[in-house]
Amino acid sequence: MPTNTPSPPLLDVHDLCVSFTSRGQVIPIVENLSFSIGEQEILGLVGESGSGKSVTAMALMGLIDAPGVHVSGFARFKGQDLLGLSGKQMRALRGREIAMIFQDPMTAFTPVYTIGWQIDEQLRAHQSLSRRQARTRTVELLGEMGVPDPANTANRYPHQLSGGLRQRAMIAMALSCNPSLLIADEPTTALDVTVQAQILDLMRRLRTTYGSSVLLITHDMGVVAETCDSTLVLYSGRAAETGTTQDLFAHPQHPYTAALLASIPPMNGPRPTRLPAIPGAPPQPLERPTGCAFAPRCTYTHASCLPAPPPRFARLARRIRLPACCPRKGIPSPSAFAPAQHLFCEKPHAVPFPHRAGGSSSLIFRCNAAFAGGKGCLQDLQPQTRANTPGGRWRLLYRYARRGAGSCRGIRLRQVHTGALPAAA
Amino acid sequence: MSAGQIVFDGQDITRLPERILRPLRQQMQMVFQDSYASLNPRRRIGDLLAEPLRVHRTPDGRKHTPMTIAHRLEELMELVSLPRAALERYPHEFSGGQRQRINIARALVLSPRLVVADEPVSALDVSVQAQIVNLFADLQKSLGLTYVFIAHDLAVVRQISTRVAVMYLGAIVELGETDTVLHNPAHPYTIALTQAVPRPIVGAARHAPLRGEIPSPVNKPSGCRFHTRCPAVQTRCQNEAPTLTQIAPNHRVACHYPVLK
Amino acid sequence: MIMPLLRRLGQTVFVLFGISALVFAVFFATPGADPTARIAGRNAAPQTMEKVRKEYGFDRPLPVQYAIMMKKLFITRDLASYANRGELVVPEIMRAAPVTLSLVSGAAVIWVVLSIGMGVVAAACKGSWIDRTLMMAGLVGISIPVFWLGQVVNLITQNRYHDTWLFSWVPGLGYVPFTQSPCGWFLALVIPWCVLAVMFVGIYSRILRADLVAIMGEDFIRTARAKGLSPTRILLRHGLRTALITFVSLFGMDFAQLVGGGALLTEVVFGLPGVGRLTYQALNSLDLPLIMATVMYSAVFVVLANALVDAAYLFLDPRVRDAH
Repeated sequence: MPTNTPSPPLLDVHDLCVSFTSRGQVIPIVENLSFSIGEQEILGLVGESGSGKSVTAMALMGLIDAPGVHVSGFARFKGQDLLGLSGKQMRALRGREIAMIFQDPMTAFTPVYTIGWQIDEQLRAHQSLSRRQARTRTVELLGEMGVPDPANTANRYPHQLSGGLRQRAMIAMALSCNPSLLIADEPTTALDVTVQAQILDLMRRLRTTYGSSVLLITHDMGVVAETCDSTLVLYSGRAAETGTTQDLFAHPQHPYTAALLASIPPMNGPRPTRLPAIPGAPPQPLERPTGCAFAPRCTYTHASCLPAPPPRFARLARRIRLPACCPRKGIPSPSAFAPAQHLFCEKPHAVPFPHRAGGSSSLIFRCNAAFAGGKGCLQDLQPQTRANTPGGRWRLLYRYARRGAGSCRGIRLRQVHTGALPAAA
Repeated sequence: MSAGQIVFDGQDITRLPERILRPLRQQMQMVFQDSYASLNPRRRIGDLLAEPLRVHRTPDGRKHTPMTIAHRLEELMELVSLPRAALERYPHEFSGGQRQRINIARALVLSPRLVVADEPVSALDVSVQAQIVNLFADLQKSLGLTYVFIAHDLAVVRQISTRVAVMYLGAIVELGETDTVLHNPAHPYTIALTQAVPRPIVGAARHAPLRGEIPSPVNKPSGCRFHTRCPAVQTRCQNEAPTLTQIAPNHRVACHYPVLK
Repeated sequence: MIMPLLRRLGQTVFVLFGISALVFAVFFATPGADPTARIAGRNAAPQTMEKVRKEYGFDRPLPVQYAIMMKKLFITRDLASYANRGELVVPEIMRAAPVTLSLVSGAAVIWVVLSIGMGVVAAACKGSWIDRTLMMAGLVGISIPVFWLGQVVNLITQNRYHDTWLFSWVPGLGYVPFTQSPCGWFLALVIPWCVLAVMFVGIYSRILRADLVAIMGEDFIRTARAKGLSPTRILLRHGLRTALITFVSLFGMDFAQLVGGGALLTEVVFGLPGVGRLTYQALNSLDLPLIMATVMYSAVFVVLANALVDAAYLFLDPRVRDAH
C-alpha cells in the first residue's frame, strides 16, 4: 500500500551500529544503518549472507545479548527508543508490539510442545486469557492463516507438520497479539517454490487484515520485487541503496544493486551466453575496506571510493532514493580508469590479481622488494587492511606464503601510479 | 529397493559388479550443494584433489607419477580460475564460491564425461551464484561435458540447460527442450512452477499460487500424483496414472489433459 | 504395541543368555579349579565328591553343566553357595536387594534434585563466578573416590566427632529395614546417600549445564525470546524440558547399574548388606553360583532400566513417539 501519508513512520532507525569485540579487535557487523518503516508498509531488507540483515533484526528485537556485542544508534518505535529500553520493557514489547518469524520453522518451534501450546503460551504471556480462551483464539488464528482443520492441527507437534503448515503456524503465533510490526527473517527460504508463493501471498494480505507493517529480510530479489513497497539493499553491513521498490528495480543507482540485478539469470527473453557476474566475494567483517565496501568488486571504482567510506545518507528523506556510493559526475565510463588488472611481479609464478573475469577494473600493483626477493607467491586475494599513509599514498597488505611452507607472513604491496589511475586526493 | 535401468554409454550399469563399475565411475562425477561438507576440512586442497589420481590409473593402465599429478592439479586450478597457491590451503580458508570451484575441480580430476551436479549453486549468494553458473557453462564448452544439473531455481535451470525434466513426487512429469518446457509448459505443475518463481520485476503479473503442499512420498496419491493440487483436475486423474507421452517432437508430458498451445 | 514388547523381551532373553554364558565360561575355562572340590569342601569324602559331581553334572559336557546351573538358578532356585555351604543364593539376593534399592533410591533423589538445581543455576549464570564455582564443585565431586570419601565421613561421624552434638545422632554402621523402623532406616542411610550422590551430582550437573547452554543457542529459544517470555520461563519450560531428554536417559542407565550392584564400594564402606557387598564377597571367595546370581540380577536390572528409559523417551520426546 502506498504510504504517502504525512504520519510519522512506525519505526525510524537511525545510525544503527552493531559490532563485537574479539581478541581486543572491534569487528563491525552493521555500520550506521538508517531506515524507516511506515504504517502498513512492507520494507524489504536485501543482502547476501554476512551483510548484517539478520543482525539488524535481532538488534531491533533486543535479542542480541552475547558478551562483547555493542549496539548503538537509535530506533524510534511508537515514541520509544527500542535500543534504550530495559530488558523488562523490551520483553513486554516483544511478541505483543513487534513479532518475528524465522527462516526454518522446524527448528524455530520447541520440539516437545504442540503448536497450539506454543501459540497459547504467547497469547497468555501478553494477555490475561484463560487456557480455553487462548486455545479458541489460537484455533481461530490458525484458521485465518489457511491451516486446514485448525483445531486438530493445534494439537500436533512441529515435526508432524509440513514446512508450509509450520510456517503458517509460525505466522499465526507472531500475529497472535496483533503486533504493529512483523519482522520476517527469510520466511520462505526453506520452502518449496509453490509453497513460497502461498506464504508470500499470505504476507501481502497481512497488512490489510491485521494492519501490521512488515520488515521482510531476504536474499532473494524476486521475493522483494513481488512483496515489498520499499527496499533497502545492504552490502557488508552498510546500506548500499534504498528507495521504493519500483524505482530501485527500474533504475538501480548503486553499482552493487545494478550488478546484483544483472547477475540474476533472466526467465524471459534471449538467454545470455554468460551471466554478468560480480567478481570476488563479499568481504569478511574484519577485512572490510575502510573505503566503499564494494570497491574491490566494483566496475566503477575510482580513487575517491577507496580511502574513506562513501557518504552515507545521514538523514533518510522518505521516498527519496540515495545510493550510498561516491558522487560521480555522470555515469563513469570504464575507460576512464585503467583497462585491466595485472600484478606486475618479477617472479613468473606469481598469480595475477584478482581473477576478475572480463570487465574493466582500475588498480595496478607492483610487488615490492620483499616479495620479489623471496620465492613466494601471492596467497590471499582479499586485501586484509588498507591504511592511509601520509602523502595520499596507500598501501595494501596481503598475505604471502613461501611455496611449500604452510606459514604465512605479510608483505605489503605498494600501489604504483599508473597513468590512467587518478592520483589519490 | 530400486528397479529399472541406468544406461551409461550404451551399457546398463544398474547391476554391474563393483569391479567393472569402478573404472566407469571415473567417467561420472558429482558436485554437491554443501560446498563445505563435501571437502575434508583437515586436508589441503592439493591432497584432496590428488587422491583420486593416486587411487585410479591412467586410461592405459599406468600409475600417475607425482609429476603428472602436480601438472594435472595446476591445470585444474587454471580451469576453475583459482590461484595455484590454493592447493596449499585448507577448505575453511576459502569463501563459499571458491569452495564450490574446488568441488568442481575435484569432480573434474579424472576427466569425467558426465558430471551430476546436485543443487550446486543454491547455497551460494546471488552475486557469487552467477560466477559458478558461468563456470559450469565455460567448462561444458571447453571440456565437452555432459551435465545432469539438479536445481530448484528455474532461472538457473533455464540459463544452463539444453533440456529440462520436471519432477514431482519422484516421477518426471514433463521433459523437453528448455525453451519449450519453460515457455510453453504443458503440464499444470510446470505451469504453476513457472508462475510461482518470484521474478525481480516489480508489478509482474501475479498468479494464484498452487494450493496445498507436496504430499508425503510415503503415501503418494492414487492416479496422477499431482491430482490433489492440480487446478484442472478431472475424475480420470484420481484413478489413472498418466504416462510420459510425446506431445510434440522432443517434448513429453505425463498428463491426461496437457495444456497445448 | 505387541511387537515392540516382544522384541524387547527377546532382547532381554538374549542379553541374559549372553552374560550368563560368558560368566559360566570364564569360571569353568579357568584351568586348575575343580569345581567339585570347591563345592564339596576341603578333604571331603569321595562319596560326597561323587554326590556333588552328580548333582551339578560336572561329569558331563559343559553345555549340560550350564543348563543345570541355569535350571537351579531360575527354575528350582535351589542353587547353593560354594563358599557358604547350604546357603541358597536366590533368597540371599532377595534379602540384599531392598538394602541396595533403599540406598540407591535415596541417593538418586539427592543427585537428581541437586544436579538439576546446580545445572540450571550455572547455565543461567553462564560465565559468571557462580557458574565457575558450581562447576568447580562438580568437578571436585567427580574426582573424589567414593570409598575414600566414605571412609573419611565414617572417621568423622563414627569416631572422632561422634560424641559432639553435631554427629551424635549418627547410628552405627549397618542397615535398619524400613519395615522395622522408618526413622532408623532414614538415619542409617542418610550419610551413605549423600556420599554415593556426590559423584553423580558432579557428573549430572556438568552434563546438564553443557546441554542447557547448547540448547539455549537453539533457534527455538530465540523464538521463545522473540515471543516476549520471561527468562525463567524460557530456561525452565523450553530449555530444561528439552534437556531432560538426555538427562533421563543417562539417569536410567546409572540408576540401573547402581541397583544392579554398582554401589559396591559404598555398601562395603558403610557395611550395608546389599547386592554390591554380596558380589564383593562372592568375588573374594570365587563363589561361582553367587557371582552368577548377582551378575544375572544386575543384567536383569540394566535391561529393565533400558526398557524404562525407552518408555520415558516416548513420553518426553514426541519425535520418538512417531518414529515407532
